[in-house]
Amino acid sequence: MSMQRLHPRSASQAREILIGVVIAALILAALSATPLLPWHLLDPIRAYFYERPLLNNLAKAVLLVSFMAVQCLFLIWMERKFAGWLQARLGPMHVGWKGVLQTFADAIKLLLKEDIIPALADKPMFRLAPYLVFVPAMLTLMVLPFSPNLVGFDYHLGALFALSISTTGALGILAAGWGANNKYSVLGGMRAVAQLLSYEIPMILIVLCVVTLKNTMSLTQIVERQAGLWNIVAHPLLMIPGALIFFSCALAEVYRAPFDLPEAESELVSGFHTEYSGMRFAIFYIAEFANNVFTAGFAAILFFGGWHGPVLPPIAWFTLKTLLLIFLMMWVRWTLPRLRIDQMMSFCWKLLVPASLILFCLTALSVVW
Amino acid sequence: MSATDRKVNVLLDILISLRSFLKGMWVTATNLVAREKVTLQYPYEKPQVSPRYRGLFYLPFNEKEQRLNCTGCTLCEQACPTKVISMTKLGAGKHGGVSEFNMDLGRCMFCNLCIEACPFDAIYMGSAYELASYDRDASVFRIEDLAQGGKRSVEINIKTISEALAEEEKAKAAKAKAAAEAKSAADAKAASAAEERQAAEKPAASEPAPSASPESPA
Repeated sequence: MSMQRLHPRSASQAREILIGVVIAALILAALSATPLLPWHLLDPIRAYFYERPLLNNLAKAVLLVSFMAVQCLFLIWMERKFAGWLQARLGPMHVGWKGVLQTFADAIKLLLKEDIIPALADKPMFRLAPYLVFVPAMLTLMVLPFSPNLVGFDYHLGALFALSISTTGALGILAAGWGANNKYSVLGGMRAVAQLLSYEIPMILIVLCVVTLKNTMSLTQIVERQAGLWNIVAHPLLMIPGALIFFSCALAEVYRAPFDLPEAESELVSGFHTEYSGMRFAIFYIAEFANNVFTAGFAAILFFGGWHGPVLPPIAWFTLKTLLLIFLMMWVRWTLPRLRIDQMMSFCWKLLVPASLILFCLTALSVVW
Repeated sequence: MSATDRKVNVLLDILISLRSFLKGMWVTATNLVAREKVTLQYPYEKPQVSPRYRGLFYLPFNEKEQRLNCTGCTLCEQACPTKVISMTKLGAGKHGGVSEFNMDLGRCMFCNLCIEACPFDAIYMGSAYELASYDRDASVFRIEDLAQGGKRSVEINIKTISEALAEEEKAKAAKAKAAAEAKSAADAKAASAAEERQAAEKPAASEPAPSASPESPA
């Protein structure tokens, strides 16, 4: 770089990367140590909850939602940090160590903010919309097997359930756009629905490929049947293009760049959540990141063997795979420019849908053979 | 790639876009790992400004002469388009200086004209840049804020200049005294000469005196 350096730099890049690696290793070590912990001490509590199924389910739900909320705060920090690093910036640095508490501070700020509802908004719809987005995002996580034992609800039609519930989120987004009584919001909501319905088709077809190969719709079963080889290794000719198509669709499904047209800042201010402020806005944000986690986890289950992996315990493997896929999504987001709406639609209908159809036919043939 | 090719070769299009996608990903990845961060954590880290930076003005202190270079000539005041500068002169002439030198930086646009106007190297721009204030009066910088060395050098400046001026005054007074003495001596001389001449004229009154009249200045 020919630019004159005007200030000296103290912290070296290599040291930061080293610290990151050490922390990741420590987290993994902590996760590996989980089976060694004295879990049997918790047996009386477990027994208490097993006797009361309603309380048990409630406790699971509370745990899942709070876990997701905290994880989303962490992921938002990670994304901001990552975006900063890609652009030769530092990202958040002020609150906590290297800014790790920044999103917590943001969340507190959002909680304390005035809750503004536009005067001409459709108020019930405006109030309801964030929850219509938030609840499906959390429900999809219910069937996601984090490890052999850690499944909210081991449903035998898990894949179908996850796909159908995740699609319901579009209703909330449309409600948000319509209820705000703002032309940008409506456009954003319309785009979201159009995009979701289009990209749902190739995504479902790819999921159908995996289901055909594994002959089950239960996500737990799909993972268990990849015990020896991950899908992407066992059927590379089918599953590598499948994973690529699935990943493209997943990006579009969670409205991330380059498919973030529903909230395209340069065109629609902020899309469907233009008029939202305070905690309602935060709920949209958490739902978005919960969707990210779900899609990444879903991809890990379908193609990368879920919790399977050597040495480390299942939960560590699943977390690692999910985080790497989220990392990949962030990487794509901060690399590619946003598509135009017609480019996005033609990419789906002219390329992804035929490709996934062909792929499904090939899969069916390979199974029948 | 010709137009006919483009019409049919969808696969090639896909490959090309895939290549450019990977290229972009490579760029961001190298950025992530290899590039040095350019962020400056401003309130904690301060930038090193360039030597030509236009920051807060300063009046350099002349160690040799133990005074500020400013002679109070007001050239900078006249050069300023926004009337930033106002000064109070201290004496005039060779040893003249300033006792007050106010700059209202609320009006200043850091155009450098005052510095170009100064023939004595008496005003420069330094590197101080945090000049914002909560109070409009605080944007007026006085001589003790501007002078290199602060209040002490202003005091030395005033002392040196006043001493020099007093010296000058004394010298002038001495000179005037000497001149007056010389004049009176000359007067006396002239008077005595006139007397002598008159005395001489009396015997020979034909020759008039052409010069050295008693009214002409010494």
